[in-house]
Amino acid sequence: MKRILLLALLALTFCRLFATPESLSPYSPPLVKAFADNLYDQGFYQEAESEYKRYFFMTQTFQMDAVFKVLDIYFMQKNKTGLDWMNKELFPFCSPEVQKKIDFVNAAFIFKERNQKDFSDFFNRKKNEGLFAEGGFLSKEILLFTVSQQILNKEIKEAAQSLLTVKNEGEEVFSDFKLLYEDCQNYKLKSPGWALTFSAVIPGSGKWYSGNFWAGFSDLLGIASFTSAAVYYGKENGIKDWRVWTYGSMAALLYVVDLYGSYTGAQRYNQGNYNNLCKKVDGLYENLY
Amino acid sequence: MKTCIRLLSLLLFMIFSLNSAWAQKVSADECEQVFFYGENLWNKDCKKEAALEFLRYVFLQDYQKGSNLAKAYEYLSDYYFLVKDYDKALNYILLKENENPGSTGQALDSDFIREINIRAARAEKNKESLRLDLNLWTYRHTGDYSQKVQIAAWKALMINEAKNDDWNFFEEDYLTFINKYSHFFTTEEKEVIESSLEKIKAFKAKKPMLAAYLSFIPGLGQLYAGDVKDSLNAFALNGSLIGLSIYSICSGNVSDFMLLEFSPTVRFYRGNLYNAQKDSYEYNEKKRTELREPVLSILQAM
Repeated sequence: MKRILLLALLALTFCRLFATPESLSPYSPPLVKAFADNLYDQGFYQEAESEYKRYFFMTQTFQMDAVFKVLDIYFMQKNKTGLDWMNKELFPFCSPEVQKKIDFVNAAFIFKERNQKDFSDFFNRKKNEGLFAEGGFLSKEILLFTVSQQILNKEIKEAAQSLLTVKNEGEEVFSDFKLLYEDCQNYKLKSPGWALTFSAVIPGSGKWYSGNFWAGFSDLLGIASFTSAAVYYGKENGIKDWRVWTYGSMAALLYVVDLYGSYTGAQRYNQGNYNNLCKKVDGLYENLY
Repeated sequence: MKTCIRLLSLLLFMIFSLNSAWAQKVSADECEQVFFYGENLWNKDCKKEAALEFLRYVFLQDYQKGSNLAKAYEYLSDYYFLVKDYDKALNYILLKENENPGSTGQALDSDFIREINIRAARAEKNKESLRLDLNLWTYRHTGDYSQKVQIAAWKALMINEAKNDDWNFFEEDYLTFINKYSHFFTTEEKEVIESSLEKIKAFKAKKPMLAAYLSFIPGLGQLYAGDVKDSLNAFALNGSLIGLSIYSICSGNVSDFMLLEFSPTVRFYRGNLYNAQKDSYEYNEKKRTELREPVLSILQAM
């Protein structure tokens, strides 16, 4: 038996000795993949993407490292079209680990569009698929999705509450969430209705309420000046004097403009605060990716 | 004995297995096909796709040395020059120069001239001076390069100085150039360049701050900057507002002045001051472009 094995080994050795090496075609899958990796490493991302796609179509296999690199490219370039293609063509054939990564990027893109309905659908779908349980997404990813949904629904206090547990644990890895928690805690809204009411009573005070002191002050000064001039000329020369009507109209016009400005100023203040909060969450997606 | 034979066989088997793995490579014909395919795409104006194929050809050099690597680098350099990525264009032309050490002088000259053009385009894009470029200095001043290359380097430098309005440096370099290559410009061209230089030296730019101060009399600053239409507009508008304000104050209608006339008068008067400054900047830019044009057209035709 041993002799037979030994003879077989010798025969095989001599066969390999005289075997001619196979040559690869430049467009063969291993070379296409190697070229794509080379392009990715050199920073030619668009070219690398097209080579990876060629590789996928040639082999009909979706190697994890190639899929991750294409996902990286789409995430870096914020390429929604590419991600949609990935969801349609690659997602069903990928391993669960790769699918979770693609889902994370999907969540980041939907949040970036501030699409409340789509994010809610995504969140509920993933919850129903059991990805929020053990073995699914990581706990910090689940927290990020939860907080993202709450922020999109404008439930900032609830988002702060969700983050509160993180703060108490004091884990280093969640330091980014602590900053978001503080922003949520300090998040204050200005009521446009109250801004309008304040300006109706004391012109310019609605803008002070929204934090714009000098605009409110100049409105107050302008309205007071025109009103007092109209009253003065009314008393001096009677109501038929052209100045009464001119100054009176200008005072009325400024008053209406101030009311509108106070209302929209409060809205703009709220929108600005909200946008800053959303940008912080976008940053969290970048960090966690 | 048997153990020795077994061990020897195993060793031989391992050696030849490895060898056969190393021996897998791309055939020379197929490698060159990639280059020719790229060239075909280039000629059909599919330059982006052609560049990808040339990149693939460069990558394949690890598997099979090709005979068109220098040409591939040249195409890549041309492509990145077209898309204005001058750093990559320069990188590839330098690779081509290193790849072609044994070429005839003709091939090398065209590479150097390409490199000079890329450096000039990059300097223009980044608004830099080529005077400090060591490579260009080497091309101009060392005798290792042909006259064609030296002239191309001088041309790039002088165009760069003309576009950046560095006329003192331009004059110095122009004089050095005509001392070295006195027959390069025709007599008419030399006269045009020299008269343009005189006009440029004699040109006195309008001072924006002086235009602003003169505009304390509305319209005078714009007139100084050469814009008669703006001057009349500013004079009429500001004049009427100031006149109305003076009338209101003199007739005792201080409230009319404060509430109706003061704010528009101040705003339009301030606008008049800024407008005079803007007019003088525009005048200077227009005049410089006019004076620069004859020199640039001669240099670019070199």
